[in-house]
Amino acid sequence: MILLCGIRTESPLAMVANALAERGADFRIVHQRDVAHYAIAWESGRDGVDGALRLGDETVALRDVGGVYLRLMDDTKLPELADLDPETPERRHARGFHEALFRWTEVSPARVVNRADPQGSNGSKPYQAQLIAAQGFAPPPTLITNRPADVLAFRERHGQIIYKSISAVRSIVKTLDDADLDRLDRIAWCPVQFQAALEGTNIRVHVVGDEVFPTQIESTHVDYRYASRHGGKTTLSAIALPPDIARKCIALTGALGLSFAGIDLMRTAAGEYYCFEVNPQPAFSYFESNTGQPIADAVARHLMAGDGGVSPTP
Amino acid sequence: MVMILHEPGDASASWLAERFAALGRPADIVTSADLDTAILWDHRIDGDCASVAITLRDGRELSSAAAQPIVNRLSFVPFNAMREEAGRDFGYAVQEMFALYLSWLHAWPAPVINRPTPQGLCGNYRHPSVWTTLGRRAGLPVRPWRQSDRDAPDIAWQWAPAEATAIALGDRVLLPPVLPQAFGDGCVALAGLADTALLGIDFARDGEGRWEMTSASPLPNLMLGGEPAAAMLAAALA
Repeated sequence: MILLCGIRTESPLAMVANALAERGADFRIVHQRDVAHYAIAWESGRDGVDGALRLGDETVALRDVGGVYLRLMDDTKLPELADLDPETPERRHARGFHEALFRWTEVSPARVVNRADPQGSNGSKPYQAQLIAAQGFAPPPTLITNRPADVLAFRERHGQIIYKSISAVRSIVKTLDDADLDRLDRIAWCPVQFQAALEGTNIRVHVVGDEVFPTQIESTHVDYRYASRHGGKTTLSAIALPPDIARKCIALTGALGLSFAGIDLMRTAAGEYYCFEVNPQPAFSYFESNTGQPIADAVARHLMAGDGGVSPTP
Repeated sequence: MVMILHEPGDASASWLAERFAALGRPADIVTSADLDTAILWDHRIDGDCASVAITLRDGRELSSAAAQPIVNRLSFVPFNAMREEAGRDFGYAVQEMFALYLSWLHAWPAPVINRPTPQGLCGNYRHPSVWTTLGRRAGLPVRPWRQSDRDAPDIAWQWAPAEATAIALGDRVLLPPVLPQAFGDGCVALAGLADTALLGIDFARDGEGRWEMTSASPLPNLMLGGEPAAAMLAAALA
């Protein structure tokens, strides 16, 4: 059996559910908004991990779960619960259920897409950049500093540079312009990350197991994700990657402990490939809807391949 | 010279510095308070090369160009100085600094025990259920972990009983005499599965007096290992 955990109507989860249904897979949706009707109890002991998950009138033996797709939202923000006091029985039950479910996914022998631990590298971009470089992809030249003079020297060396957060918080890319220079001394109290602005074509590569789905992105803005918000336009199209780049993408995903990832590449005019970052929980629906790439079906097949098999436990 | 990074008040770190000195390996002590007030940060990544230079307020410099081995006992990023400057951006600034510490400690070109992880600056602070699961895979008898929707989510982080603690470092282990010596291989295997060089592994007796693993930590009380623990660390960093 396969569990899809999240909100039933959320696009990536709904698309994977449709793909599983078309393939006749045995799956259940753990719909967070129905949490009042759910219960879970499990144990990790000398004989392994086992327990039971009750979904309404049905009870699922956790040992029978072979695949899990996680798209959980913050349960404290569920519409049914957000306005309740945290100490109400409803909120306490929801919190306890989600915590127990999440902890089970971290130790279950099922194929989990993706466990939490391997997703952690995305919380530090320069840390992840070093892991990316170890797999043969060049990250953009990067400087993190709190000394304005070093930023100016970095800009002198590389021409146009961008700045963005070091962590995953407020992750918006901006070009360092003259107006920014007027307030550059403010970096003194907290170091900031700067990178050489590369010229080229953005490519998002979704990797599912050993399959790759590369999408070329043409945008009017530096950070294509926010182009429409600022009156710009983004066009997506499916492309093919050189075999060695595709292999590197698969290897990088595996090296990070992931089985599903969204990798952001840039191809320069000289044909070099740079890797900006790896998203461990890609909302692929935007790309599938615009290109027709069968990413959801690949996720479904990946989950089905784990169902009945055993994937590595943490 | 070995550098010991630690929080103020870390008795294990102070004790280790004394033992290193007694072994003829004086250590350079850098506390999180020293790092909190560092005046210059420079961390670069270019291709597969990464560099770090941190200038402390007292003039000392931590530089990857002259990297010392590190005993890393930082549990979290220091933020007292930042709290004063950041205002409403404080939470964001803490996330930024954690991301920076994770990266520079990972980039440090000399041995670091323990290397940082996204789940903890001196190693992965795993949930007890994960330690239990890894302990079983390592061949150790484990205290079962049970969890349900009826449990308070934070109950997991309460103190686990520890009547005895083994200290594993690489392929070596220091077992207290009360523990079965047969646990040694399991402790080394657990540290390997956890990808954690230095690991404290806690044990307690069940109701029938049988020893079972109850938890583990990448930040063990080194004094429990006595002189052999200090010597083991010194050798690993030599």
